[in-house]
Amino acid sequence: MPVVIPDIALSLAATEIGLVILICAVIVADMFTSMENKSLMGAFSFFGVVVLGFVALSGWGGGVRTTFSGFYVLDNLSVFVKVVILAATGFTILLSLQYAKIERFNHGEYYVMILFAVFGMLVMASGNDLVSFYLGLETMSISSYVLVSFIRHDPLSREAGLKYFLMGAFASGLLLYGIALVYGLTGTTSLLGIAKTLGGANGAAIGADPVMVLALILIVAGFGFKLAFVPFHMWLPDAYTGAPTSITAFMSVAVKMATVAALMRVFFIAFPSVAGKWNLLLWLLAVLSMVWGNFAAIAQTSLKRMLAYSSIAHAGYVLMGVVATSSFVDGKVVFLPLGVSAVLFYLLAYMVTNLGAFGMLILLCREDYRGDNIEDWRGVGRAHPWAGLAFLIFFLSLAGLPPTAGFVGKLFLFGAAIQNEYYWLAVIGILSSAVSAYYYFRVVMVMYMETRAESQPVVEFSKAPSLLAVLVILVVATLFLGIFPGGFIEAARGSIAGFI
Amino acid sequence: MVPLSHYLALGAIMFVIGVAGVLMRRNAIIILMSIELMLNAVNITFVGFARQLGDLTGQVFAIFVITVAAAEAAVGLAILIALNRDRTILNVDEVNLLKW
Amino acid sequence: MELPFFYLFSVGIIGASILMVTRANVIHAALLLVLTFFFLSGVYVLAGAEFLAVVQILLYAGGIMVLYLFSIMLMSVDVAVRLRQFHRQTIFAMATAVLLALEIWMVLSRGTSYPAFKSFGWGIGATPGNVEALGSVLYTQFLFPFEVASVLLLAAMIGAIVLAKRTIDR
Repeated sequence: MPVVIPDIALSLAATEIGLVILICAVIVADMFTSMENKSLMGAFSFFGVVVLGFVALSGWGGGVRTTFSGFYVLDNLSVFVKVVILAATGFTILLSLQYAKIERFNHGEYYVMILFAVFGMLVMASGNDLVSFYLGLETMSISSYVLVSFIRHDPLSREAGLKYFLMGAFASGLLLYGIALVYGLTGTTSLLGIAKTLGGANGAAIGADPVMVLALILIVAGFGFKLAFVPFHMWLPDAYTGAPTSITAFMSVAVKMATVAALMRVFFIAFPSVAGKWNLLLWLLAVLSMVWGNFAAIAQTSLKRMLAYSSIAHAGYVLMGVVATSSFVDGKVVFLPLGVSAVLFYLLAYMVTNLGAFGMLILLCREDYRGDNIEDWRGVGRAHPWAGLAFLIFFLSLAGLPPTAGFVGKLFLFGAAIQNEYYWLAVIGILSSAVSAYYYFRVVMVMYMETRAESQPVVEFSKAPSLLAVLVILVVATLFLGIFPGGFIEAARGSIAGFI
Repeated sequence: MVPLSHYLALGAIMFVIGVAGVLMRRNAIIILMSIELMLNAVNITFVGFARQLGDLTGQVFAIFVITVAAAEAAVGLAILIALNRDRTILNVDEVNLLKW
Repeated sequence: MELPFFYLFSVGIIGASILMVTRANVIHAALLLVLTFFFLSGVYVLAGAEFLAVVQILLYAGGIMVLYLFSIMLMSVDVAVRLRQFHRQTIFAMATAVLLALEIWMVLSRGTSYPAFKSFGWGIGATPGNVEALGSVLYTQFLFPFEVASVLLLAAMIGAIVLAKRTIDR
């Protein structure tokens, strides 16, 4: 049997290949670094990630190119997603440098595991086949399980790791069963191949088959667990609270970004002809997540846990954009690009905002004092006006108020929902968003209106220059995206070229 | 000749037994093993379909699933060992520092 | 001749896996899982997946399950045996499982658009065999997922060592 080596354009996968080289370099360099100098590994990874960000950016505008026998695709969407993920990674590494010392987990392996997770995300962003998508997802997930339980001396972190791991592994089982059924019905795992079969002569029969419905339910449930949509969210508050704060920030932005990108690619490319079925399921998940995430956040006393619940609600808003992409004319689906670009812009806005909000928690963290309860922020706003202002801006953005990134993002999302006639979704989104303003501003009230109790320790912020620099950049970015969003909106619009 | 429906039924039964194990048991190791059962159920389904379609993709996917299962088992057991280092906890509902 | 063997293996798989999820003793459960995997590799042989059958025994029964047994030895399981084994909400969990079983069964038995049977391009004794055919697609067509899987294994290896090691100081 002759073995035919397929044509492979390695240059298309330059970002991934570069990342693997970076990972190996960090692993090797780590062996020759003493315990005290592990932050060097962080700095090394940071510069590597910055370079890779530019490498990823160079793929912009080249049209849709596939290689590796169609398993890998490079288009504007994947470039956009990759650049945002790499930016989030760079910020996360800078947030971690000081924090890792405080929480005593400053090992080279920490940065290596972050880079492994990023590798999985990049593969997901470019996965053009259910096989590569699944392997990317697992690389990301397995690295995140390790990262969540990385504070080895803290029982909270290990517990969070166990819960996250068990739910995550269960979810991939569900997802995989769905993939197996899709493979059986369509005879292929390639996204384009599935779409071709479903749109072909036999397509209508396969699409109406109950097995297809079961497969879609399983795949949606798998994604639901990974993205923590209500009712699949039980693990998220625990995992986010127990994990190191830097990792919570990383997961809430980068993992979400990669998974949402993969979700859009899988559903829009592979299953357009059965859009009516999955769109309904996603609609339901979006509504439940927006409502429950916001209401559950009200009752929290831990700020970290409150932000965890609010991230469930934000995932719901993102899903609203995904749902609002489909428009049905006489039972046939038409994808309107506005929804996808709104999702991408919102994820970008959420990235800078949420990293900033978690970065503020890290700012207050000391060896003997975690500072992640709402109480701990009492009176901070008046005593430290700059920190108070920064947090206020992040909260404004999370609540979706001008002049911040979150406002433009929400405007864009609700606009897409209304334009595509998803009125109920938009109404529920706006109402739940009003609820969210309540609990965000409760923290602002605590910061500005209340005075610090005698028993509370004096506020003493971290003075790490890397942390302060990141927070300044994130504040500026949040405001910049809110005031001059034009260029980024153009990028989000351009990234759907050739996608739908 | 074993018909396709037999493979699918076997896979479905095994999958449900695995799901039941995950939902019912308190012991984390047994939950982990039940997840292995689910993954193997998926593999039967893949292999059954691969035979029906006369296509190797299903078998290749099954190989990747085994790879991932190995990786998952290693990390999962490592988390459990870390959790057990200073106290004896194997039952998931005793893991409760993070109750809300 | 294939059908009786299939039934034999299926009964073995189902019996062993039901026993596995109900055992109190983790070691018994692990050994029952090994038994399940042996029967499973028989099913793979019947389905024309000889390579997978071997991998199932070598890697799954021989590698992964040994990992399980080693880890069980590291933890104090004798305490766990004496504790309550099932959640308080077992009834609900069981009801969910039964419902899921019914649902999957209904759906699978009603599926009408399954592919028609096509045989693989190789028969017994003919070249190339299953292993050769798999190898030739795995290293050409499936090169990308193959490379990703290797990175995944490296990640899992480093991650497992970091978590399970007692100290990382040196």
